[in-house]
Amino acid sequence: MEAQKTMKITVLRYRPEQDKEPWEQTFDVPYHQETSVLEALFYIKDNYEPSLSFRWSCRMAVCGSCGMMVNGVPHLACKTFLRDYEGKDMKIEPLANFPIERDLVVDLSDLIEKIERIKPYIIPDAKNANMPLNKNFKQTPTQMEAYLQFAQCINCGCCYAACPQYKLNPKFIGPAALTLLYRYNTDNRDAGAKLRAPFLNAEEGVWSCTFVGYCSEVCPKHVDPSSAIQLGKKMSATDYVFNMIKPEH
Amino acid sequence: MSEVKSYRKPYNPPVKKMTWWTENPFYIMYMVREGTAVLALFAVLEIVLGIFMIGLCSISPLTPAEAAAPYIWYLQNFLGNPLIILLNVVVLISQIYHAITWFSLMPKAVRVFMNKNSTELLPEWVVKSGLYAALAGTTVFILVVAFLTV
Repeated sequence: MEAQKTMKITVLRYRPEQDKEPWEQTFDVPYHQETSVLEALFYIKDNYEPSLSFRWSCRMAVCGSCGMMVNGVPHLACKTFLRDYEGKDMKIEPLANFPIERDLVVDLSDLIEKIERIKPYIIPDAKNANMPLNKNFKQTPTQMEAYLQFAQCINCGCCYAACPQYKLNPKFIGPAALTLLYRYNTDNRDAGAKLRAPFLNAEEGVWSCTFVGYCSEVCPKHVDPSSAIQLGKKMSATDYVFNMIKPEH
Repeated sequence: MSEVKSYRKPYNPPVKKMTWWTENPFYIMYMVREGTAVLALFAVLEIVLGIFMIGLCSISPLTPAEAAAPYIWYLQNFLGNPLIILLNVVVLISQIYHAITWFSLMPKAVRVFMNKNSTELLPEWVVKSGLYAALAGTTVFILVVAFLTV
């Protein structure tokens, strides 16, 4: 049998009731080919530090709970494997750009509020508003493909941790929320673009994005938020021109 | 109801307003890409100076050489200066780099389906090749015009 390897893993700790600021704690964690960062954290919690706090649920990159910084890069702990860091040390920190609540747990309320703000649900037009439940909206494969990629978001917050514009200006609506905005605006069943326009067109909407593109690089679901935001800029510019020609008010 | 004491004390990591981009190679490359704009500004100022020098040329000349003296100074002494030539080479390289990085990002802003019943997107290479063709076409056009008018 292959000899078991160990990795030095440094975890950022923060206990609000006794710590002034976060501090580092290092552990030796044995691992094999399939050990994920999340499993390494379980090992630490079971064998060294029962008080270590971190969020997790599905363990299979579906729930979006375990977003954290691994060697400075936002990752899902369940989808990141120690084998890819062989020969290196590992540093695990809470998701950047969010307030640290305890250890690796961050306060995501700002992200949640922004996602709620852009009305992330299908708003049908007046004709379809009271459609009976036994009737369906029809959608062709092309119409579905138009938004499907952007509907894969699991709200893990990795793109916000990757975004320097969000870091510098927390008012920025940010990658995930703007991607969802674009996703619903491009859905042929939806007629809510006018209601979402104020958020899309605002200074803290798409126009705060400078196309750094790191959100798309780190997104564990390959949603490509930077693409959605650039397409959102096109949408916003078109809206602006149409409003000039034919003002709404 | 009894009061429950909260131990919540969220910690906000300090934001390095000036040096945030040094923390990640991806950010550094972004700053290099955006930094090429400074060199583009140099090229623009250079052209503006040339136009200004034409404006300085006198209308009632004694000889053509005297009339065009400011512009000749601009061509020979300013543009001919080895330091300016070197700077222009750097500007050219930086703008080619800017074009390459910009073209590689462009497909993200283009989401077109092959036809109205297709679920297949226009491939990235088509968008990129179009941009490179446009760059090559413009460059050839400018060079041809420049040589024809000499």
